[in-house]
Amino acid sequence: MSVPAIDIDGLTKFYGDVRGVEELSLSVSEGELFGFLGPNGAGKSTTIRLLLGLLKPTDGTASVLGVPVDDRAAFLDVLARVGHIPGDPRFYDDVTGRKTLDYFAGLSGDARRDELLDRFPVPLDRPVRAYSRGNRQKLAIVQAFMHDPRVVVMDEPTSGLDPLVQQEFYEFLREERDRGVTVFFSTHILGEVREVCDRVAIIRDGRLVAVEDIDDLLARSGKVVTVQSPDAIDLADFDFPETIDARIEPDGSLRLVTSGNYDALVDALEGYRIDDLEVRETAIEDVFMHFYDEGDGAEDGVAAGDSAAAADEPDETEDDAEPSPADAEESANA
Amino acid sequence: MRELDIAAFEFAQRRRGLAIVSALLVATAGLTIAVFPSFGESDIDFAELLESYPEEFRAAFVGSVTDFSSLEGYLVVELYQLVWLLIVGSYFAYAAGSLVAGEVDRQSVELVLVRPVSRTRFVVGKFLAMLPAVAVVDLALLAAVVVGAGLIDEEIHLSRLLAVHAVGGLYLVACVAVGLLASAFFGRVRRAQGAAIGVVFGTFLLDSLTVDTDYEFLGALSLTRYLDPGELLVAGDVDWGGIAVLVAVTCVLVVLAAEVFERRDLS
Repeated sequence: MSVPAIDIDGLTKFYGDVRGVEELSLSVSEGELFGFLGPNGAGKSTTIRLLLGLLKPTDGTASVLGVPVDDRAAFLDVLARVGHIPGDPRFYDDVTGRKTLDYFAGLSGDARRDELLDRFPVPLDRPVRAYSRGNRQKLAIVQAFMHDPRVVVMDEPTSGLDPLVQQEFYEFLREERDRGVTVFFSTHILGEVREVCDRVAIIRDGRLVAVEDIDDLLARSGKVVTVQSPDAIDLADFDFPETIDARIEPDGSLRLVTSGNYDALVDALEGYRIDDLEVRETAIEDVFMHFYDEGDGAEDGVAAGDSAAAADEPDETEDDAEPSPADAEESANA
Repeated sequence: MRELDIAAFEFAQRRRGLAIVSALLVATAGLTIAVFPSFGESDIDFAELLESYPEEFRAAFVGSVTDFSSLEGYLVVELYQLVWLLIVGSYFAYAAGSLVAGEVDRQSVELVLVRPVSRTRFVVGKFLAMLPAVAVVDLALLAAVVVGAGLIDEEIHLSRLLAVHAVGGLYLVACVAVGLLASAFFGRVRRAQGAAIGVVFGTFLLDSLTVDTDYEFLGALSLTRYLDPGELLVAGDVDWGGIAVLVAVTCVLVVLAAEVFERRDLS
């Protein structure tokens, strides 16, 4: 077994007393397209900055291509083979796209610049100040890949891209993966994960909740059964071993996620009048809701039924809870 | 040499600001020199007038000059002591305050330091960018003074003038190093620039105000203690010890800046 492209072991970062990430461990093989999924503020950006040596871990280690981040001298050589797209890429406002790329080329090379610009064109001779968000993002893609890196680490790389460019980018990522490039990217968009990732890590409140193979995850996650009845539904009737999740929606309908045993389900339904019945494949959203809800229930003591409303918008539940190191510095200097 | 790439890129972005500062400085020098002939013709005894000012004031703005009838003495008082040491020195400390903090503030540092560029090289590259900047401003003023003196038909001691600009250039580089350290330490441009200008301005005042008091040793903290435009331009005395201090302080500050930046978390 070769050295993992990315190896994170017990990685912990606190900003003062505030947790960024805690006890994070995961490993990404070479040539893997790895998604890093979590709501805003879960610690995704912190992890990425730790992985690139921009932040120093409070505890634990991270290695890229077998070299630990804290081995500064050796890690510089690794960085020559790493590409990065920051969460909100900022360039030099008064400098044109072309000169910006010239500068980065001088620091780390640009063997693939032209090919990438054909695919993700930007107005090269205009100052970056005049770029739209989408163009800035495309410039970020070009600078991240133009030196033909072995490992690419990206923080929400598709934000700001229009749907067509997004599709082009997914296609490009799959091609890169097939060339053996390791791609690690964070996102809070579930569909994106399903579309491009081989495996996904799910992070919540700075802790790793799960690392799963996408196909397994979807296969294991069963079906969603929705039942509408004029009668009051008793959740206890549906408590089979195969039940993954059962809850009463605000409109009184039953929403059941089950991995099989439909005989028992049909038997249980016999006692109810039924207005409507739907059985469908789990959407990836249902799967992730499962992970997020577990955490909520455990920490906040919220009943499953109550958290269902909040669960509709997983991305919004913890907006901007991630402490920024700048804030930590503020308080340190105060 | 990635430092040089970084330096060249940084310098290119500062060209416009430098052109403006140089132009302002040349204009100031031109006006100052243009006034000199009428200054000499007036009946006021400036030496006596300055005698009547407090010691601290003279230390700050007049320096060691006692002869105002020569263009050299006049320029030291009117141009080098105040405009050069205090204003241009503060400007360079201020400008250097954004060298590193500017990139951290606008987050472009996340695109540079993820390349095979060590933080030390990054800091050194930023410092190197300011050397041609200092040279441009230095030479612009030198040229303005030489041309200005020619226009009013005054003789000026060229080798002494060169010495003032050479040592003055080292002083400005030291001011850059002060700004660089502030810039590496603070994550925000404004804070770094404020700290840098505060140090240069504050120690200048400290040096001036403590002259001939029991606290004169405090003035040793000021960079201005280590060069004397009056001595250089009027008397032609070069203070090699002072030059050594300026160079040594610059080196120490740059090393410290790199060290501080190596240890920082970057968000």
